[in-house]
Amino acid sequence: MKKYIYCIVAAVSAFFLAGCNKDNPASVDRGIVGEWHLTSWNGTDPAGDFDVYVSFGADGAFDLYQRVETSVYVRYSGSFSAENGTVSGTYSDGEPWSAGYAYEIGADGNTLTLTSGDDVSIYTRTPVPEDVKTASGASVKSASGGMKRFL
Amino acid sequence: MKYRNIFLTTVSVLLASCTAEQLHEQPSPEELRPELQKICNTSYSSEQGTLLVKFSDEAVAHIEETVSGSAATKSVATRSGISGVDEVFADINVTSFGRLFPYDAKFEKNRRSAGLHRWYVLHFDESQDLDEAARMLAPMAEVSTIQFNKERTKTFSGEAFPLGGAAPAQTRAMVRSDFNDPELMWQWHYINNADQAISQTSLAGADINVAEAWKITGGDPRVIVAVVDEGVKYTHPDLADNMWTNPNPSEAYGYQDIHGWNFAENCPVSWDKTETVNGVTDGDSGHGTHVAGTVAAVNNNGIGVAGVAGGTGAGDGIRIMSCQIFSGTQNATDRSVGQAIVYAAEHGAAIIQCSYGNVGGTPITSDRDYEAFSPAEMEAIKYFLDPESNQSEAVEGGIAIFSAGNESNPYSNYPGGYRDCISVTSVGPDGLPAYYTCYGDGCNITAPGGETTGHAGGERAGVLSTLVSEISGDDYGYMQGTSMACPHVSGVAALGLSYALQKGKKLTREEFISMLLTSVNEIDSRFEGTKTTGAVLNLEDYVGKMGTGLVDAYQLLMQIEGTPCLKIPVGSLELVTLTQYFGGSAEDLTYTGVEIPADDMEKLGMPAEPQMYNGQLMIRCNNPGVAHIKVSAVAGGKRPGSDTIMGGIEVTKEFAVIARGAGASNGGWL
Repeated sequence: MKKYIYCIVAAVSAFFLAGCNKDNPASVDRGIVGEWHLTSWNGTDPAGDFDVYVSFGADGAFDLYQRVETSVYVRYSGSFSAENGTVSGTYSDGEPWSAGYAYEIGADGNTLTLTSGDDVSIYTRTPVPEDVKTASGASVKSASGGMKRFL
Repeated sequence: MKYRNIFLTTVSVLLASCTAEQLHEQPSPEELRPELQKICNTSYSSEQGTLLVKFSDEAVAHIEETVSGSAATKSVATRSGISGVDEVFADINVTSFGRLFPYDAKFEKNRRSAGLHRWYVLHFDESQDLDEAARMLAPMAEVSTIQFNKERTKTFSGEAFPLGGAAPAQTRAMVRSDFNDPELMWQWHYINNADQAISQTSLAGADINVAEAWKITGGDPRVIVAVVDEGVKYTHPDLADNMWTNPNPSEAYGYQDIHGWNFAENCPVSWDKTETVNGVTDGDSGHGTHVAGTVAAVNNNGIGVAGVAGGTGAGDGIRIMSCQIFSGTQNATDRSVGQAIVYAAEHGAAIIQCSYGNVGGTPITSDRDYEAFSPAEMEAIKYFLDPESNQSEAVEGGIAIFSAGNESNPYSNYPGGYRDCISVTSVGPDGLPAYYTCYGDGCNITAPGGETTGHAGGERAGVLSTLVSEISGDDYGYMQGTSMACPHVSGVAALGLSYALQKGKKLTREEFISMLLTSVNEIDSRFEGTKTTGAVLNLEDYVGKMGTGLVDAYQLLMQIEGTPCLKIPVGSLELVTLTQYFGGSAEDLTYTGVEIPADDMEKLGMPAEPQMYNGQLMIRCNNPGVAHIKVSAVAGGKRPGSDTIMGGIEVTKEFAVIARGAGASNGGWL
C-alpha cells in the first residue's frame, strides 16, 4: 500500500514539477509547425535583396534565419505561441517580437500569411537549407579595444 | 601691383630653375616648335642609346613589311623602310629596330586594337646625344610620338634587415590564428596585438584584419598576382608552392618564361645580381621577393612567415607571377614596365602589384600630364585594365595597385595617382601615418608599410616577409615603405577575388574596386598632435589624406558575401551612417550623388529625394516597402580624379532600403 502511495506522490510531483518548467510547450496550432520561407512581403518578392526562413517547432520553440541587414545569415531563436489565429513570441534574449501577427494557413497547408497592420508577409512551406543553417551558425569574433572595427 | 607680380613671377622662375633637374626640364623656344611636341617626355634619367617611337597607322604597314623581311633572313632590323626615317636612322647609327610589344599570334588582335603594335624600340650608339636623336626624328610625318626610355624607382628605403634569431619578446601577445608559421608572431601588420616588443605605441587592431578572413578563405590558385618588381626568388622555400607556372611557355621567350620573365634584361627571372664598385654594393635587394611574400608566402607550412593570400596549407594559395623590371643594376624603364604589364594582362594576372614609381624630375600632378609623359606605360596599363585584353579568370578587367611613394609629398606618385589605379599609403604599427609616406591627392587607401626607425622594437616595426638569402644571408627579414604597404592591399584584393570565385561570382573591376576601397577601418580620428619616428609629423596634416582608411580583409569578404539591406522605420526622417557600404570612414567621405528610381520613391511615399547630409543618408519613407538606391562617393580625397585634376576614385554602392514599421529592436524580422 505504502508503495502505491509513494508512486502516486511521485507521479503527482512529477506532473507539477514539469508544469514549473518554462520550456513547457506553449499553445501551438499544429498547422503552423514546420519550416517556412518568406516569399512575399507587402507584395514584393524579397529574393535578391533579403531572405528570411523561420522554423516553428511543436514544442513552442522557433528558429529564425535571416539575411536582412547583414551579408550573412543570422540566426535568432526563442519561444512562441500560436492560437486563436494569433502568433506571438519572444526572442531568447528576452526581446519580444515587434508585434503579434494574425496568421492564416492556406487550404493546402503550404502557405502561411502573417499580418500586422499593413505589414503582410507570405511564407511558403520549405525546408531551411543546410547551408543557411551552417552559415548562420558561424560566429565572428571582433577585436576588442584598439582600432575601431565596424564588423 | 603689376610690377610686384612681375617681380614675384621672375623670382619664382629663377628659384624654380635652381635645381639641375628642373633646369633640364624647361623647354627652350626651339623645343616649342610644333613637331617637337611629339617628344612627350624629357631625357632626364633616361636610358642612353634608346628611344621608344610610336608610328602612324599608315606608316606601320610599311614598317612591318620591312621588319618581317629582316626576320625572314634572321637578321636584326635596323631600318624602317621609310626613306626619311631611315636617313635619320643612318645618321644616329641605329643598331636594332623592332616592336616594343613583339608579334604574338595569340594576342595580336588585342594588341592591334589597343594600338600597341605601333610602338617600336630603336637602339643606337650610346654616345649619340639622346635629345638630338629625338629632335632629328620629330619632323618625320610618319612619327606620332617619341618617348625617352625613363627609369623607375623602387618605393622603399633601400634597406633590408634580416630576421636573424629574434629573441622571444616578454610582452608578446598571443597570435589569433591557427596557422603554424613560426614567424607569424612578428607579423604585427597582419595581427596587431599592441605588442610592446614591436613598439610602445603599437595599437591593437592596427593591421589588415586578415586572421578573421583566413577562417573563410586563404586564397585560390585561379587568382594570379603579377609582381612587377625585382625578380621573385621562385625557389624560396616559403614561396615556391605559390608560384605561378606558365602552362604554355612561349617561343618568344625561348620557352623559359616558366614563372614569369625578366623584362629588364630580356632573360629568365633572376633575383641575386649585385655589383660592388668602390666598396659600394648595388643591384638586387630582395625587394620583389619581399613584396611577393607579403602577397602570398605559403601559409600553414610550418616554416617562416605567412602571406596575406598564401592559402591554408592545402595548396590553395593564390599564384605569384614574377614580371621582373629591375635586374641587378639595371633599373626599370618605360620599355620594361610596359612589356611586363602587357605580359601580365595576357597571361591571366588579375592584379598587378607595383611597388615602383617615377623617379625625380618635375612632379606630375594630373592624369593628362602622365598620359602625355609616359604613353607607352599608360597604354600598357590600360591594356591590362581592359576586360577585352585582360585574360584573368578572376575579374572582368584588371586591378592595378601601386605604392604612393616615400617622399612625404602631399600627393601620390604616378602611376599610382592615375584615377584608374589604386595608390596605397603607409601606416606604422601605431596606426598612424608612416614618417615617409606620400599622402593627399591621388591616394586611395592605406595599409601597414612599417617603420624600421623610431620604435622600441627597431626594425621589428617594419614589415616582415621573405628575403633573398644570397643577398641578405637570411630567408626572412624586415623592410619599410609604401612598397611594403602596397602588397598588403594586393594580397587583400587577391583574397577577395579568391572568395568571389569560390562563391561563383565574377565581378567587374569597377564593382570590385568599389568593394575594396570601402573595406576599411577609420584612422583619421587619431590624427592629433605630432608623431616622432623617422621624422616629426604634424598629424593634422594627414586628416582625410591617407585614402579611405586602413584596409580590412574580413570586411572585403563580407562585401563579397552579399550586400546587406538598410532597414529604416516608416514615417520619420532618418539620418543613417552608411558604414556597412562605405566602411569605417563612411561619415568622413565626400559623397557625389544619390540616385533612386522615381517609382521606388512613389512606392515608399518619399516626400523628397534622399540625400547625403554631413556624411549621413537623410531619408524619409512614409510607406513600407523596398527601394533600390545608388550612392556614390570619392575614395581618397574630396574630389574625383579627372584628366586635369588629381583626385580619388569614384565608387558607387547600390543597396536595398527596406522601410518597415514592424521588426524587433534586436534586428529580428518578426
